[in-house]
Amino acid sequence: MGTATTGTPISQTELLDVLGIDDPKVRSVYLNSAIAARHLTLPEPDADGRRRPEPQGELLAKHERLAIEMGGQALQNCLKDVGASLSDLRHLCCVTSTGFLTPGLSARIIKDLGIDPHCSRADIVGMGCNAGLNALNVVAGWSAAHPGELGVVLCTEACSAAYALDGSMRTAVVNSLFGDGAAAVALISDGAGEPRPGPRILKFASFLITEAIEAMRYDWDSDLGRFSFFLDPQIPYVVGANAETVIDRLLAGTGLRRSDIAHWLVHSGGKKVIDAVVVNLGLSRHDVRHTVGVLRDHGNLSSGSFLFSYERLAEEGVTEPGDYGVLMTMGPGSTIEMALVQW
Amino acid sequence: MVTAAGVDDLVLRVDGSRPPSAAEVEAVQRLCDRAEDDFGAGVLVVYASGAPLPGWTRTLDVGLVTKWERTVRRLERLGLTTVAVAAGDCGGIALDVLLAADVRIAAAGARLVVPVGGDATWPGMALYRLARQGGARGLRRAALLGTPIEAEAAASAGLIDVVTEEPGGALAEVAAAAAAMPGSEVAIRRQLMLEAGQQSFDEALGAHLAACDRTLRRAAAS
Repeated sequence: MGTATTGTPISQTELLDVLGIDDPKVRSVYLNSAIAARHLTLPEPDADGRRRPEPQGELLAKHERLAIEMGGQALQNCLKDVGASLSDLRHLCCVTSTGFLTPGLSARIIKDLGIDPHCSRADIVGMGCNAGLNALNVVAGWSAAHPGELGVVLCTEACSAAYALDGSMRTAVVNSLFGDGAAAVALISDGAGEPRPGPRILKFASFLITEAIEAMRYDWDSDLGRFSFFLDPQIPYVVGANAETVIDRLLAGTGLRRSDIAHWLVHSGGKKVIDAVVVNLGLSRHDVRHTVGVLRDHGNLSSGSFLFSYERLAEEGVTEPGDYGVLMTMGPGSTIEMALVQW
Repeated sequence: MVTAAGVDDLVLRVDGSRPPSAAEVEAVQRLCDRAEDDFGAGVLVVYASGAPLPGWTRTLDVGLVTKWERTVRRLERLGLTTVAVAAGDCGGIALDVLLAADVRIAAAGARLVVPVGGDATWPGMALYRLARQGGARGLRRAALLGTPIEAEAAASAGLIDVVTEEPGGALAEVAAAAAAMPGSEVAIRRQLMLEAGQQSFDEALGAHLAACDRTLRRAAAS
């Protein structure tokens, strides 16, 4: 796998200064976020040194530029990591929720990097922070149908292009949380008699919390004239309260107990939602060390966050053959996605 | 309907005179499996007694120690109330499980023994638990030199909950209280308590509020 970021990281206190935020309530949201720094591409200061909100057109252009730049880099880092080249790529699934463009990211990245134009592709757009696992599910299906062929899930999120700067608490919660980053993971199904290293995907479980369909939204704000993200303050608790339902479904029929799971890779959604998942699934702080570490160093990277945690787990070198792991993401819908893997 | 484990349902006898072994690991793991599969409340009872003899580390390697420590950790995080009953000298693997239990009952005359392994005291995770739970008050001689901790001193240091001539009575009391508490919820309280010593108020607040929310939802659903 591989990751990439763009721009220079900025700390929460630096960001408060840059944005000129003085409201103590808003400042406390930033400072109690359990985030140290994030990669962001902010609007350039105007003649008065102020960062003016960008119009939607500029945000879309920023999304396209950053998502392609970071995505291309993450894809190349991923291929290098697995000892493959661009010419080996047979399927590219791009995931983004922080901007909309047609032709989509997969087409633009194939053209920009000179990937074989016969490469199969798909774009998953607008599904939010959970979408990395939705994409993994789809590409795992493609991979099973094409043994021995290389597929990649590429999550590339320019959260800087999804910002609305209006001084309200609604946007403060969002602006204090998200950062820019891209992550790619390579999948390949074994052909006959050619087992490969790395974890195998065993099973997926999905759950749509239909009564909370409006609790996380990225929709048009007529007053601001742009898209704006909304997070219901109750959402961490809603996710926590439903987490057991999904893990029980994931493990049903596998003969596994929750205590058999050695590695947990949970989406770095925010401090509150991590706390709620930890409590409701009976996890330890050690279980979510990478989730918390990615949040601290990058903020919420939306769909690619769990892959940043996966990269850190791989770098730790603590996984043993036979170990089980659970990947967990949550996002708009409201939805919880899980995958069971075995090393 | 939650099935509560009584004092005779889930019983582990740990002989501290034996070194950690694959068989001990297996025995504890199987009991934890049974606890998780069959019971939603109640107690798992560990009878802990015996202290290692000289040379007890000869059969050990760090791989086996790793498995044993992981197994004790599983016991420490179990979704049931765990009760240890200590008698006589209690060291080695008996001390390991004692210090991982929720409630510790010592028969009068019991002593906690940090064993000497090789040329100094054994530095396994019992040493960590001693330092965390006993605050190291008066325990340095035990930790560093292997001087036994008498039951009363262990109680003063917070390592033992009760010293009694009648462990059976104390055990029955704990079992009666634990039968009414869902094990999953006990495990969450225990985890919050374990983490409290390591986190600031503000760091801990989110997890406690999530646990409060969980409790309110359970009450509303019942």
